[in-house]
Amino acid sequence: MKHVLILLVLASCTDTPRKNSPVEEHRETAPACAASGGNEFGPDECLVDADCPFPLEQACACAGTTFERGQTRNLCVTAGCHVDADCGDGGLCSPSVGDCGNAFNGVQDFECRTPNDTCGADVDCMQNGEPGSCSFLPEVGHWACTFVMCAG
Amino acid sequence: MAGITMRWIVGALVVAACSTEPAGDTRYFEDRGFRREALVASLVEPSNDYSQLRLARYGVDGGWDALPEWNPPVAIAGEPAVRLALDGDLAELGEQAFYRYPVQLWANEPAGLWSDATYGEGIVHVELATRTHTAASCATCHATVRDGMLVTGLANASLDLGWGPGRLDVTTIDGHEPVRIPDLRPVRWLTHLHADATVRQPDITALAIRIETLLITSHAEAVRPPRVIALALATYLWSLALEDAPPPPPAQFTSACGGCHAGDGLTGLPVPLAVVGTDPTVGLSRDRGTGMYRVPSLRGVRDRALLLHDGSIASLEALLDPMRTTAGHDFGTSLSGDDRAAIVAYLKTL
Repeated sequence: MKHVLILLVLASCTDTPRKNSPVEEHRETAPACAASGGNEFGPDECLVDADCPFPLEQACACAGTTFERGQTRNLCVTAGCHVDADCGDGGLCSPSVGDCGNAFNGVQDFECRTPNDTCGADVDCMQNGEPGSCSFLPEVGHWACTFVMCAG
Repeated sequence: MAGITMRWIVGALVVAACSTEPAGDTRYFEDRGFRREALVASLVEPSNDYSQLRLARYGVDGGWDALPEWNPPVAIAGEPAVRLALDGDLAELGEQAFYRYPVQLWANEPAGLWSDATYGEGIVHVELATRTHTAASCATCHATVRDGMLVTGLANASLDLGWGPGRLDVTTIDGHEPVRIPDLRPVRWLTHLHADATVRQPDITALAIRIETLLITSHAEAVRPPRVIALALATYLWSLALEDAPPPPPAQFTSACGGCHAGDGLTGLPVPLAVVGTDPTVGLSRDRGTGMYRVPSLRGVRDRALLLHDGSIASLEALLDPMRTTAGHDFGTSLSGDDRAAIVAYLKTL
C-alpha cells in the first residue's frame, strides 16, 4: 500500500497539473514601440498598430517585450484584438507566442482570452519536464498549451 | 463519414487488385488496434520523446483518435477557398493535399518562398472562424522551382526560417538541432524516416502514420487530419520515386559508397554515428535520436543543394574533397582525383 501511495505521489509530480493561472500579459492600451534597428531578417515593420499594412487585422508587436523569445525587431502580426476593451467587459487581449525558427519566435498573434481556455500562462504547461507555451490555437479558437516547434 | 470511408475501402481494394501501385492497408482507416500495432513496430527507439508522445497518445483510449477531424477551406494562387474533396483518386488527393493542406499556421511569411502559376506562392491561406490565416503546406518546404519548373518533393533550399537557407530545427525550442530539409522524391526507397532514423518504414502505413502524427503535433494536438489525407499524402509521396533501375555504378562507387548506398534506391539500413562520423548532435537528440543516421537515397542527388543530414556540405565535389574541413563521411575522400571525378560523374546521372 505504501508503494502504491509513493507511486501515486510521484506520478502526480511528473508534470505540472494543467490549470488556468492568471494571465501574465495583456494589452490594456496599444503601445508605441521603440525603434529596434531591425535584425538579420529585416528592419522594423512598425512602431504603432497604424503602421501595419492592414491595421484593422494586425497589431505591432514590439521587439523584446514579450516572453523574451528572441523577437528582435518590431513586427506586424495578426490581431483578433488590439486592446483589452476589444474583448468585452473584463476581457483581456493577450499576445500569443510561437516557436518555429528565429524568424518566427516571439509574438504570432494578439487574441482575446476566452471562457474555453485550458491554460492561463506558460507555467500551466509542462510536458515530460519541458515547458510549453499557453498559446492561442486558431484551429479551435481558444487558448491551450502547445509544445510546437517547426513542423517536420 | 462512414460512406466516405466505405468508398475508400472499396477504392483501395480495387487499386490493390488491379495495379502494382501501393494502396496501403485499409485497416489503417478503421482498425485502431492495427494502427497502434503499426506505430509500435515503426518506432526504432521507444524511449526518445518522439516515440514516448506517440506511444502515449496514438491508438489508445483518450488519445488523438478523439480529436476533431480538420479539413478547413484553403485558398492558393488567388482562387476561392475550398476544402479538399475526400472522395477522389487517392494519389490525386495526395497531390492536392501536398500543395493545399495546412501543415502549420504561420504568422509571418518567411524568406525564400517559391512562386508558381498553378500552386501560388509557396504558402496557403486558411479560412477559419476568426479570420484567414497563413499556413505552410508540405510543398512550402518540399518543392522548389528549377529551370522554370516546379519540382515536387525536392527540398526548398532557399527557405530561411532562421537557420540559413534549406535548414530547420523541428525538435528543440532553442534551435540547436537543425537538419537539411530532405528531398522527398525517393522516400519510397527509404528503410527509415527522419535524419536520425526514428521511424522504420516497412510499408506505406508507417509513412501514413508518420504524416498523420506530424499533422496532429504541428497543430498543437488540437485537431487531426482525416486519415484519408494522411494515406493519400503517403501514396503520393511513394509515387514520386523513380521506378527505373539506376545505371550500373563504376567500380570506384561500389568500393567507396556501395557498402551503404545499394540497390535500386541506392540507400540502406541506418549507420551508427561513429561509423559515419558526422556531427552527432541530431543522432543523439533527446527528441528523435537513435544513435544512428539514416542512409539517404542517392536517387536524384544531383539536384540537391545541400548534403549530409545537417546540410553542412554544398556540393558533391565538396563532399569528396580531401581538403574539406567539415568532419565525417570521409568515404571516397582518399581516392585519386580521377576516381573521385568518376564517382561524381556517376552521381550526376542518378
